[in-house]
Amino acid sequence: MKKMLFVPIFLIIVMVLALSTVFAAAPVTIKLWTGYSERVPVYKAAAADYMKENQNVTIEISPFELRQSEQKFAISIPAGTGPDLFETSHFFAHLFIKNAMLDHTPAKVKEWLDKNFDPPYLVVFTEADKIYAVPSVHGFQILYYNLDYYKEAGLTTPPKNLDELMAYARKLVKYDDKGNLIRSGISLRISGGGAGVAQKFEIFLFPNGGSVIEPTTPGKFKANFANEAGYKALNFYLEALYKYKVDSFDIKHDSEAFVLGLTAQFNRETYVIGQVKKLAPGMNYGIAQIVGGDVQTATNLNVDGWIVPAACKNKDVAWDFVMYLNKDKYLVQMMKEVGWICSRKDVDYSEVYKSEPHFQQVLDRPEDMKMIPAPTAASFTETYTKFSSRLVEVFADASMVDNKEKIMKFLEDGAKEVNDVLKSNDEYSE
Amino acid sequence: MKGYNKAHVKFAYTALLPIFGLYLILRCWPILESFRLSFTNYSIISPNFSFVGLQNYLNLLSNDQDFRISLINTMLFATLTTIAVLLLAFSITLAMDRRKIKSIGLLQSLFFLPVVVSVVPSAIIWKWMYDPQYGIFNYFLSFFGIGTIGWLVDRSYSMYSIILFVIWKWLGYFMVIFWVGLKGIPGVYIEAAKIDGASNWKLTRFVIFPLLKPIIFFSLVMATIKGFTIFSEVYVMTVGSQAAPGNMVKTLTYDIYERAFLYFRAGQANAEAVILFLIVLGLTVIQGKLVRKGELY
Amino acid sequence: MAKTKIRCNPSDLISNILLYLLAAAMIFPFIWLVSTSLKLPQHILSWPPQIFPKVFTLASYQAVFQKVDMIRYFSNTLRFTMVSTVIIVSTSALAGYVFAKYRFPFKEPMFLIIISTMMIPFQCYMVPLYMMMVKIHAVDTYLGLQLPYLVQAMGTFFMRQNFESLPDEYLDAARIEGASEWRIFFNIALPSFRSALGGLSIFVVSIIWGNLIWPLIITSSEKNFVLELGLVNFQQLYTVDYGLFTAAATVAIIPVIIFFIVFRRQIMEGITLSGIK
Repeated sequence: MKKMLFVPIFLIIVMVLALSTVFAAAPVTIKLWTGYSERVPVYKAAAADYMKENQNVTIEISPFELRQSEQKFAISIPAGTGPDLFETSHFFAHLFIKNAMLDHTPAKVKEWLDKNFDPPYLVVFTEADKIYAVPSVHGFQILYYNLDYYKEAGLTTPPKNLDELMAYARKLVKYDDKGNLIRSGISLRISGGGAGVAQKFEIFLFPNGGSVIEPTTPGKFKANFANEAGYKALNFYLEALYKYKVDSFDIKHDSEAFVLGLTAQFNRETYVIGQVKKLAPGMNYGIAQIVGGDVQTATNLNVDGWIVPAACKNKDVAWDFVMYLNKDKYLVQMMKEVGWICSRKDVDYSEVYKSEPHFQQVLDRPEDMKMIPAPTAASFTETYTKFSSRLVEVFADASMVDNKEKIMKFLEDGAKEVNDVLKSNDEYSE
Repeated sequence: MKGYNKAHVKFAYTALLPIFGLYLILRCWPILESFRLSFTNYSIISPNFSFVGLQNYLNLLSNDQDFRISLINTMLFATLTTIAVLLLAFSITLAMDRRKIKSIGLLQSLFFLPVVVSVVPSAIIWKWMYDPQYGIFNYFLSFFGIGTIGWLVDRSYSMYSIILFVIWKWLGYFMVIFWVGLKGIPGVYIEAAKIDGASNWKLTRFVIFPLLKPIIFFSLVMATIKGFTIFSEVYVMTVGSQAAPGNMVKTLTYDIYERAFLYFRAGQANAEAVILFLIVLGLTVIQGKLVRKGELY
Repeated sequence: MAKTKIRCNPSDLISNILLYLLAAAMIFPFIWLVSTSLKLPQHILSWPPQIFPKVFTLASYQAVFQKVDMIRYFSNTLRFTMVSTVIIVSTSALAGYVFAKYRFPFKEPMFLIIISTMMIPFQCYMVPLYMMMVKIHAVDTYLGLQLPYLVQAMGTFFMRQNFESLPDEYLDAARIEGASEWRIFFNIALPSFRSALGGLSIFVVSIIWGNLIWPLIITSSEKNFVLELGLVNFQQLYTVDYGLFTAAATVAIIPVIIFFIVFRRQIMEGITLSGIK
């Protein structure tokens, strides 16, 4: 009963506390949200310098988990309670560009952008000749391979196409004497929620000219995997799991597996270079561009950028700060300490190359290598996520290996589902 | 006794109405608003949306594969978890109450610990225990010569792995509920029955069980609701690259979340939430009739 | 306390053993969590896994406190939890009592409405709730965080079910002696259900302490973050550094464990109503 008396006392204390946390705001406060917490140290460093030079500006940086940051942003923008700056992927940004919720870059920023960035990085944020973001980092997949395991298997150069990739994997896979898989020859993304499975699968569609969805007419798309490219890619996975057994559900996957030596090869974005440096600094590994095929040699391209909501009250300062963020020293810091590659051109990264030559190899792309940006369809997340779920189910079906009929049926059903989603968003056309 | 006691009614309303008012504002209004939005094509990100009538409901119920899968998963999940947790909780609590248990306080604390700990740290450690290479479960299995199992990734196991995690997390909660209920039974009833020479079994069946009915009803309803509306436990186990395959463990609430915040079809998500609500409400009413034999309160 | 058991009942013994084994299994994950957080990086991945590390290190914990403002997150969470618990237990106890022991018009519909609010997952109505907070300018404030957590349907339901076992005779006896309804509530009803109140408190503490969704939506400045939010960020940041984020997870759960240990007596012990006046 005594507890009851504490209620009003608590309430009073609490109200006092609540009221006392109202800060006196600096004349300009820029709230910055990002879903990429690993980049925050660089942003904080830039913010500190900027605030020194601009005494009336306060920059508050809030990191969130990626999905949660998008969820938060989506809820707050229509309510007008969003941040002043948000770092996000180009396809997520397009949802808001399409709904007229973002501010486009003012003239002088656009001029600076045209001078400092190659067109591919700007096109993905462009709508009706207006640019809606300042690009930050961009990601594209590369092939990582463990040099010690390569040496052990007598391999010297990275594979050049899917057939070689599989042949290598068969030489690199390792089982213990009880028959348990202890090193996968290649680590494929065969499980997990979200759109990741389809995005990683798409890398295997590119060599033969396929993709999950492809642009047809401006603003319209269609599914592009119910074809030979789709068959070859899906069969690659199935053969890996069931015919040649170079990967399985019973072993760790992805960058975690690579860092722990549980896989010999895998595809991922460049930030893994930074991860490996932190978690397995002595590791002897190489990187190569994604394997090509008869039709093309290509990898994907995701461009992250800073967007400014239309409701932002300090747009000029916001744009000014993101231009400031693109100063050489921060871009170098991003590559050196975090592992992401920024999009601005003509930056001297030689100091980083000295301590981490992999970055130089990464940026050394053959002329004919294509970078295919993730489609800016509103249906992007839904189509890729739904296709991911279908893929995960089919990966579990051993009977599909080399079964062209069943595989094509699966791909056609999947394509129909994808096209239906596109149609429901009025984004479909042949 | 038909008439209401005026003084009592006055007290009841004075005490209850402010609280009920809070429920109306903080819960009922947002829920009704969501209900209203289920008849639109609200997308969260755009302030423009229009009325679509029952379209969302019809789409879900007629040819939506994700909805169907989630519904089946949720029913399977809720049923298994509810039965397992309630049976375990009841038997353990009864045993603790009946037998002379050494340091019972300590024992109870140990069972309750998983409940008080939040979902994210719990999931972190369970994912680690389920790890194919370094996890403790596979380590135990290796003693029996069984090879590595991908507890979360392998479709045959993922649902059960998550159910085990959830049982672990909720057991203590229902144990406390039963324990508190047992303690609330006035001692006079139990002593009287013992004096009359009742055996343990008779005591349980004819004295304790009937007196525990309100608590049993509560547990059944809570277990059903928790089972059907589970989210964070499943969500944290399915994020990341070492996580469970999407469809195998997708529950209705996860599907709702996906629709609302990944596909931005919030109107449809709300419709799904309404359907979920109706299912849970229906089950609760049925349970009420079963346990209370006609009375709902 | 001298135990004057003359014979050791075999079923008691079996029960004890089984229960303790089960309890050990229940807390094993925590032992594993803490032990991983104390291991050196090279030992975390050793095979066979060791439960008790031969070499201890507190480096992970140091790193956790260096990398994030744990103190800040902790105090935000503490404030949120304490206030929520006090208010929710109060509103639940009073409402539950009234529903259990009084007859009045519209009682059934009112109760049904309250119970129904439990059957919808929070995320289904959190966007309209958020819009409400926007209208009263409570976004990214403590008020916005706290407001939805003044009532809890589960709590009201729980207390009602418990209060039902309070015999009406006790209330009538008090009324005959001239006690007001409020006095009956405070002096008879509440004290008799200390363990139910205790149980409810610990439920609320565990729910609020680990609450993720609402703090995520309503707060945006890092200075307003709660522990669970910080932990999710942490996990994303340091995926393979098991030592580091098991340490962070341990720090996040220790306070609730301590709370539970300290208040365990109040929660778990019951008072039977025999002889209570």
